[in-house]
Amino acid sequence: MAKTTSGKMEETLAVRHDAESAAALFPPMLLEAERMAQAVSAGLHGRRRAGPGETFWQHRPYAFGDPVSAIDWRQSARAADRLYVRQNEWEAAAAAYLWRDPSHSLDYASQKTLPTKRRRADILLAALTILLSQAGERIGMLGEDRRPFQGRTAPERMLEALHIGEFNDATGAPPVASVPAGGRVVMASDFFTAPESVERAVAALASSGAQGVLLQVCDPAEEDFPFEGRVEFRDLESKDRLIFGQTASLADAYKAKFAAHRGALEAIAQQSGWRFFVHRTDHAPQTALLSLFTAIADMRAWKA
Amino acid sequence: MGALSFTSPLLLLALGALPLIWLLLRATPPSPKRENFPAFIILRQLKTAEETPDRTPWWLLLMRLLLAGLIILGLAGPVLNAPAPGTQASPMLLVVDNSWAAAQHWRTRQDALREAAAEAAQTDRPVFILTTAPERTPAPLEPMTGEAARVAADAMAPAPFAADRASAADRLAELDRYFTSGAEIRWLSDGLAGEDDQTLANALSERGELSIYDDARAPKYQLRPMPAAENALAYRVERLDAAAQAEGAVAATARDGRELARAEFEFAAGEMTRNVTLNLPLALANELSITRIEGVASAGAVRLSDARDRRALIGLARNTASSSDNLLKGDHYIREALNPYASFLEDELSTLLQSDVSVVVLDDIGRLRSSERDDLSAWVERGGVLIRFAGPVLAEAAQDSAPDLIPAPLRGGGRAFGGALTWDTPQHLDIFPAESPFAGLDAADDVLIRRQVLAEPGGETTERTWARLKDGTPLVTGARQGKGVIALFHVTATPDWSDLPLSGLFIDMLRRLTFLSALGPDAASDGADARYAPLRLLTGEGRMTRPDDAARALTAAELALVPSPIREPGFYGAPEAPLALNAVPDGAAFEPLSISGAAIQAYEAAPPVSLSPPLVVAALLLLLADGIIALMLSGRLNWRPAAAALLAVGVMSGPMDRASAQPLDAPIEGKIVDAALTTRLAYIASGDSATDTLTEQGLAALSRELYRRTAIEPAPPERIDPDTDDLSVYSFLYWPIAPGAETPSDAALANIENFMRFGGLLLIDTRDDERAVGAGSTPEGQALQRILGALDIPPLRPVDDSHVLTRSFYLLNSLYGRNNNNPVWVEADSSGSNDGVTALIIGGRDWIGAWAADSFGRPLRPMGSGGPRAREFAYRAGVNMVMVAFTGNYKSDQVHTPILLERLGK
Repeated sequence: MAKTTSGKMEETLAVRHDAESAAALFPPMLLEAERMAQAVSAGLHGRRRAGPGETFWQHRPYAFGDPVSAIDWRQSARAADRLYVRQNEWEAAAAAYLWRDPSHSLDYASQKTLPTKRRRADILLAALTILLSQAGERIGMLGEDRRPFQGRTAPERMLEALHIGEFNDATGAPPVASVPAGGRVVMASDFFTAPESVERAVAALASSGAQGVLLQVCDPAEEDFPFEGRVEFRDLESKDRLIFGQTASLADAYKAKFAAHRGALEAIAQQSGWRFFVHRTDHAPQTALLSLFTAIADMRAWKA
Repeated sequence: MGALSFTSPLLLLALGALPLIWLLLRATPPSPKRENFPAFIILRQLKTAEETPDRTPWWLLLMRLLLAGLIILGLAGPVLNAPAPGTQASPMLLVVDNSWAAAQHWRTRQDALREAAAEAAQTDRPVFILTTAPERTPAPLEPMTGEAARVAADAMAPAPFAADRASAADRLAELDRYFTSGAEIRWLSDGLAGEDDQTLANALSERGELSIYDDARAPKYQLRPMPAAENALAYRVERLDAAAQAEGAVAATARDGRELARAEFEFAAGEMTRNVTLNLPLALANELSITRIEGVASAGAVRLSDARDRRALIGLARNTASSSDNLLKGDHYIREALNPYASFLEDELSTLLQSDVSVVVLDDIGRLRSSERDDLSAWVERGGVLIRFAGPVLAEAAQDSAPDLIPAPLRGGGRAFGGALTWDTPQHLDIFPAESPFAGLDAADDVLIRRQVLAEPGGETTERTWARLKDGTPLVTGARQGKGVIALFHVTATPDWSDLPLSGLFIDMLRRLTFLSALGPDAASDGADARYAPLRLLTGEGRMTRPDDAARALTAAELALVPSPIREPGFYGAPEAPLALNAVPDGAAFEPLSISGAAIQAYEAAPPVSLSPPLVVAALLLLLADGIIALMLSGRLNWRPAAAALLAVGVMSGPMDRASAQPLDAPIEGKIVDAALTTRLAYIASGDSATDTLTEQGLAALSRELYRRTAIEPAPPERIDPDTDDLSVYSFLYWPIAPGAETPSDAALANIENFMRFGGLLLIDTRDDERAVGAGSTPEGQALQRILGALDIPPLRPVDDSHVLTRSFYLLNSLYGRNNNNPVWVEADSSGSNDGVTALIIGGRDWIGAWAADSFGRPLRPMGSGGPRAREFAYRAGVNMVMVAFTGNYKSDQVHTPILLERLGK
């Protein structure tokens, strides 16, 4: 009896310990994401039209049919014989669905000074979440059943949902899932999978009416292939090994293949009207965030 | 010699496997660099052809082969100069020259002996050891096991004699019954030629297979004395082998071991002998005891000097009528005769007597002034030897009146033989009387006496005749006077009157006379039968040892013979004037051994050297290098981190060494730091708490007064324990003696003595003045007496009103305390050291009782008499004492103020 109790207790403790160690990553990541989001949001504006929203947009004279509750009595009292209606800026809240490759493939940094691809992707997505939640949008996780979240706590919940400390090599390819119509999708991965699996996922989403962005996060070593001599390469996911004798002479062939792979991905995105971005971990993340955010915002604007 | 052998040679077969290792190593490529890489999907598309294994670089291959080879060689146990296993079964005879010449490289002989013993032990052969140096009782030759031979070899020591090879050859007959089937014979020679070398070699060759060992190439030295030059000791260093250049030094030591002189010598290549002179003043030369070649352990490199080698200082009284021509001067002949044995001083007689001459020669001096006569007589009484020579002047003087200081009365005029008007022929010397100092000398036949002065015949003259002519007339008369001797040669010191000055006898006679002096060097004059006990004996290695019980006392005659086991070399006789017997006789030959018909080989000098450890170490180093290279080839070791690590190790080792060096000085205690930084009075705990409290209060009150009145601003007083505390930081110590106080420990007393010695002022207060009527009359006084008995204190005197203690700040008549009955004692003469500060003030006046006050300044103890005024004086006395402790004699000139003022007034 006592044993089971203590066993349970231990289990609880272990879970809690794991949770705490995972959560310990949050504050620095959030901080980084917030700093990045601030840098980006300073250059952004609202939708510039009246509509349902929380921030003030304009006062306009009362017109017949306006609900009485819409009258801004304080403003109206200043004028002699006019009633003003307060209009907020139109902020149509739409859901954005994010996905980040959970496989080991992203857990890679060729140099110690660079972050891993996964961390960079997580921070980008968290920063995007901050920006989107500031805009009142709902953010959901692609391929998960939980409801999209919104509001102040969205970034934290976002990070939690990303399972920062966990890897899952089984779902390395983008999930074939559907989102409610009008939803927007951000898929962050290195996309070192067969282009067909990416195409399937994008096609499925696009068919459900979703617009989206593919964000390829790459390490500089993956693009430049700076190896020399006899090297044994090891896959992070499958643990397969390959030995090459003269790696330096292979660099050109590698770059060609790499470009072909990227071209295939780009073609997939274009087919469905999606956007395709490339981000290198040795480049500034703000540019990637800005382009991501504007892309999603444009989709919303266009849709609206 | 220099042969390489293996302890387990079978292992060398493994070297055959090296080609196999070559193939294996070639087939195994070095492992590649390992890289994680996510873009594997692209790499897969690249992979076109099967990767062929990389070849191991040839240099790495070579290194690994070398590594394997080194390990195999190391395990096989290579040994240089390994002793060859003996194959013979016949007995082994070891003939050892354990002479003084062998002592110079005794270790090589012992090594050879041990090696031979080990060989014999391996094959269980009987071993015989025959030593050639003479022994008192030669041990019988009996077979030994190899182990016993090794023990015997270890115990063997070189003897201080030359090898006696003839008797060794004789003793070989003892062995014939053992050597039925031949023998292996090794003659470990000393390399020095002797008389019967060939005899021994032949005798040995007859009995077995002879091999002669000789260390001809090893440097071998001998020291020989040379006839003394003017004021210098001369030696000759000889060596056997002249091939190489060599250098060394000859050192002379006195009887007490002092080094008197040292002379370096240098042999050029090809030079066999080298002369060395030691320049020593006569006084030092006469102390000479041992001269040796430095660093050569052999009795042959040591020369013992005795009293006979010492040189007397002979005074030659200046003669008024001296000739300008040397050959006509008596001085010249005396000098020539005694030059090797003495130094000379020529001066006025009075000057000579004031110098330390032991012999004065008066050559034909007839009259002496009365003052000179008295001085000379007194000098002879003290032990001087006065040698007078006759001559025309003396004969003239004898005609007028009897000259002074003459052993026998003289007749006036002289006697001439063989002249135109005489009928006597020149006379020969008769043999010397037995009681004469010249007894034993050979009366030379070729000495003719042509003229002489005559002594008055009589019983006294006959008794005092030390040498006479064939016709019985005295030639030399002599008499002892006090400790000294007066001798008169009845002829001149020049060859005018006789041939004596030209003969060798003259030298001996003069030397015998100089030995009679009690002032100069001592000489063996105890007669032929006197025996001299051994004092220090010389070992074969040239060291001096105490004689053992078997050492015999020797007569002077025996001491002149060649040393032997019954006449061991060394010093004999009295310690202050010993006689020496040297190991090597003066005329002994010093030539290399040469034996015809036998092979002479050198001693094996090279010991077995195992080569395994260096080989294995080299293999391990290669292994380490191989590991590092393998890591670098596979990319797991970066050049930069590796270099950084190496650098870090190098840098770390430096600071670590420095960190391990602890400061030598012990950390200073806080109390000492405080005391050193602020001036304060201190007191030694009396053991009685009430006294200590009062002392503390008294010193505190005095400190306040000092603060108020003077430039001294002391901190509160400190109680110290002389056992543990460092007293050097205090200047003024108060030590109240309680009744029955215990004597402090030795450490504490030493601490207190040091305190006084290095300028501290110790005030000892017995506080018993009102009761004391004399020293030790109170319990405190008794305790003080006991303590002072254990303490090293300077002489004391009562302090008077002219002492600096009464002048240093206030002008006082006395050092007032609570009671002022008995005197206060201070160091009697403190002028010498420590700026005139008296180390000690002893009194019983209970100063602390007078000073003690509570925190409001109210006195705690009544004054004996006088009230507040007396207390003020007590404070003044305290201030004065502390002032002296801090300023020394700075105010002592105040003592002279009245005189100075008086002078100024004039």
